[in-house]
Amino acid sequence: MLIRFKINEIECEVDEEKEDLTILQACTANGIEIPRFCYHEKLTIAGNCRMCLVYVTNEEKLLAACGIPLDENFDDESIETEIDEILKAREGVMEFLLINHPLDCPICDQGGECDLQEQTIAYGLDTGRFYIKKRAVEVKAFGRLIKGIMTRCIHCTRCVRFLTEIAGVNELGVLGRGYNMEIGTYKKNVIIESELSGNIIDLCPVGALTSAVYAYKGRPWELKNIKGIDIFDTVLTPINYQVKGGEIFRILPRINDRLNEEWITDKVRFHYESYKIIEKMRKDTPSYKIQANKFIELSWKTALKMVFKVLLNKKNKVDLIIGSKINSTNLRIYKELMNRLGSKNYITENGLLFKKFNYDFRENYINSNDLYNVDQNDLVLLCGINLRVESPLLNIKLRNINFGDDEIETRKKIGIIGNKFDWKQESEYLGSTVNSMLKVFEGRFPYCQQIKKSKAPLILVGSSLLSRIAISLQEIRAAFEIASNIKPENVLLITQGANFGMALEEGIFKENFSKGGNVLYSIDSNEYKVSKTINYIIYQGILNDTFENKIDLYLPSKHYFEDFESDREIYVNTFGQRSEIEKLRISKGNKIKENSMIGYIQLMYLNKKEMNRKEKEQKEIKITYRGIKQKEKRQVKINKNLTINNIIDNYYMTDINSRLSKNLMITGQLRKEKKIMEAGSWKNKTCI
Amino acid sequence: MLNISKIFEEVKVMKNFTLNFGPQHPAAHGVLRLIVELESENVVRVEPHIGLLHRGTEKLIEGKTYTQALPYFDRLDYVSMNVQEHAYSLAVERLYLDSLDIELEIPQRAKVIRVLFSEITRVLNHIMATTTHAMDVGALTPFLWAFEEREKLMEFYERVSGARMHAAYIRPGGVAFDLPMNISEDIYKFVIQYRKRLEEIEDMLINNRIWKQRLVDIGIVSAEEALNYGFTGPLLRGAGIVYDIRKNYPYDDYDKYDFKIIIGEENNSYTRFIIRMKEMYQSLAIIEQALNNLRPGLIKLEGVNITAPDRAFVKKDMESCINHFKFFSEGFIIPANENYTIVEAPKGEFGIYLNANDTAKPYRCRIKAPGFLHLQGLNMMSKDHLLADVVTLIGTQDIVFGEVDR
Repeated sequence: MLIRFKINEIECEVDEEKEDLTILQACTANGIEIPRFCYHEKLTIAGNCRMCLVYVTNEEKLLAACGIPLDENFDDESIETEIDEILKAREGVMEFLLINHPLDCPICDQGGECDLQEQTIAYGLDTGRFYIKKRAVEVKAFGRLIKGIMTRCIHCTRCVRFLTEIAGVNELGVLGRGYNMEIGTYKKNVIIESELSGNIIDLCPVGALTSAVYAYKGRPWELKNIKGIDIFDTVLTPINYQVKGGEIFRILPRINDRLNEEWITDKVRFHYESYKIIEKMRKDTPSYKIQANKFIELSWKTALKMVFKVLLNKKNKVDLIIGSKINSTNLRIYKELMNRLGSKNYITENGLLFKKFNYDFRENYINSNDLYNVDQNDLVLLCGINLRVESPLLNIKLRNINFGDDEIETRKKIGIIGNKFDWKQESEYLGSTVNSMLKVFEGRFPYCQQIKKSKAPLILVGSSLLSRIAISLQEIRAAFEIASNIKPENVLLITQGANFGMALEEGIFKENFSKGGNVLYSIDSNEYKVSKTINYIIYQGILNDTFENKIDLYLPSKHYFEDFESDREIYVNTFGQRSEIEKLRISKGNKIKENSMIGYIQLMYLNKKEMNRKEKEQKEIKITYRGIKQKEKRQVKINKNLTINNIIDNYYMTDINSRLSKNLMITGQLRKEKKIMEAGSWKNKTCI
Repeated sequence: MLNISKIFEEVKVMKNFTLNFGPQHPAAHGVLRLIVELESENVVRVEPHIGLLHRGTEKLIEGKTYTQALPYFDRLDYVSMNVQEHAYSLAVERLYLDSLDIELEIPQRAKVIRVLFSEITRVLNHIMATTTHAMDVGALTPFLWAFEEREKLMEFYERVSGARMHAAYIRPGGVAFDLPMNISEDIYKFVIQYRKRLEEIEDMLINNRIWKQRLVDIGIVSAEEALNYGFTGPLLRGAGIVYDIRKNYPYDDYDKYDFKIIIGEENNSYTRFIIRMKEMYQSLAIIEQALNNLRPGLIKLEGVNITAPDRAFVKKDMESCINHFKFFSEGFIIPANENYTIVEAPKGEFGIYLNANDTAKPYRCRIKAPGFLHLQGLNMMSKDHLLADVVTLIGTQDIVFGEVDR
């Protein structure tokens, strides 16, 4: 039914069957802004702040616009949002909210970006009328990351709704009623066990929940936004670095409805702390180890010539490992360098995990399905992927799939192979060994009937599965297609490296990489064990904390957001979407060089060498296509009892940035030990 | 044979002597640099080179909120601070209040205080103008006498705002603070005794032969010339043209004060000196009237966005706390609107063009400084004069480089 109504004399039409709109959404669609505190687009409707009151003709009372759906009752009605009655109601709501709000603006971190401030200016009174007494609530600690000054709380319950509905943890709740109402945890000093807990800082319309890391550091109007991406997983969430004077002050999400909506993970939100420590710890000149723990500084010229000598020496077998944060330009440069040297020993840090990978076809490493329409899927199978830690944002996206109200039916729709982890509802746990994966292919679980029945299943394959069995994604897809007739695009691969797709696009991968090699050339890559055959390590990067003592030659290079070859650098995420980043400079001194610069100088040396040789003979160019050769079918021996363990041990300590961020590290430790926080909460280090 | 006629053709062309006057010359009033072209000692051409004190005030203001832009006006003509603040405050008020439907006027007491301090500033400026002028020409004593009085006026500034010169006292919507205890009595005492000091200074100069020789008939500007060159203030009134913005386009109830516009006949340096001295008497009269008009009341508009809440309330209630925070961080938004506001500065017509664009910062701010136009007339005024008269002319123009270079 087509509903016709007026908003402030503007004629509007809404088709009730097609759209499910509330009054507030209809007003926003027509460019009329309605103030709100509790309402948020991505959360359920609470309707408890009463700020969005509107007048509707033939209604006795004012209506809360956020919670009233437009149905046939609104036909021929008119909605008023700017009449005196509404303005007075808003003033009243504001006055009541401010009665118990502390006079904290000058010391509050939310000052300047506070909804309460903005709406007081726009809709509130000029002076207060209530001077008698203010209610106070004690300061609460929710871990090292979030500061909870609950006196400032206006009980909008956005944080409670986010954590229960989206993040899926139940730590926060509303305690008490009326005058004694408080937001808090039932037990005292409990850490919010979510990888997305930082988002409640952004959601909080007042300064009740603020970032403990950013506390008393800056004001929003003096910070400059620089576009960046989250390089901790393959989703490449768009973020904003907020910068002042060559220092990152905080990191906030950029809104992208197809990707991250409005959320970012805690790791990216709080990891910026580490950059300051890294800048203190790192060397800014190349250095060479002469004895154990004794380094001498080198000039760039000698250092680069030393590297070149090592690379050119025919006795050496060089392994090149490229870190996951290296951008596409550098991938190309170093592949070129290795190819010119006649070697194909290159791999990305993440490629090391995979025993087998067929990168001939793009669909094997870049997913065409960007999970925007996850709602249409009616079944989820997670094979060897702990989505909660490997990609928290995809996790919440999948958690939002609605399988229906029937609990028993719902349980049948979710299958997990690998390590068990908390997911939405109770799920069908299919086991943790390789054997259970094979059983799925053979259709030996009752769950497999569900797979066959479902129309749009979604199967996620993680790197912990592929690191256990020498099987490529293509083969898994084929197996699923034969067993249960699943389309290949519904089987997705979720890896770890930020630019992994781009690396495979360039062809940077080698099977059985770890065999052989006596020289290791690592470009900003830390996360692996150095094999015993290696006797010389060149480390070109920022800081190494895993095999620092073994490094023979160290070349300092720039952070990924400084490392620009031209004025734009591109990263590609697991869905094949390009994200550009803006240049940001935080490192001091001019001695640190870009990775691309170092690569180009090596190539230049190589060119000179070739010119000197004066090899002008035209070589025959042989075109070989990789992967076209038909291989013999051979039986693959698979150890069926291997368990598919989670590749990430501690979510908060996966790379050097997260390890060096003090607050993330402590959060990780506390959560691992399941300790209730006592000492070391932010309360002890700051006074209020 | 020698071609005598050819030799005579090669007549050597005599070039005029070019002299650099300033910017370090003590009589150059700060950082004025003049390129003076001389024929023996007669001035042929005077070319002012300006910009040594330029810091882009107008552009800087575009990046500041309306509140933050105010102190820039203290630093334009740095001897008549409050008058320029007055102009800016009026400009912002008109810009803001014009966009509202309701008619609002700033409180009576605020108006009186503004007039009081504008006139104190006028005295301040004229002391500076006349006595340094005398010093440039050779008379040191009036300078020493009058600067003691000027210091007392500075003390009034300090007592009311905390700063001797760059007060930031007159603000959009009123004034920053109420008058402190006993200040009106002290101002009154000052007015009484300053009349006597003025008379003494007049005794020193008015009939002084040297002073007259240096000033009379120097820098005559006809009424037509003054209008063509856009002169205002004493340079225009000296030619007999009755133009005083306080009377012609009165602001802040100047029309209710009883004072006279001083005009001259032959517009030479001496006339203008006399005008400035006489204007000081008029200013003192206005100060006296203003002191009599002082009534208890509000010192700034309340309940409007353009004024900050009182400190007392800021510490009491949340609404004021928020308003105060937002006022000094984000500022107040003025709807898209433009206007040009003029006041009678001691040097002439001081104007501000403000353009608002629905943000908390002005989109454009253009400042019309009287000294800038006067300096353009220096070449015209110094025609047929001696080099020594250039000093007199700079003095009579009362140039200050803060406002010329901005």
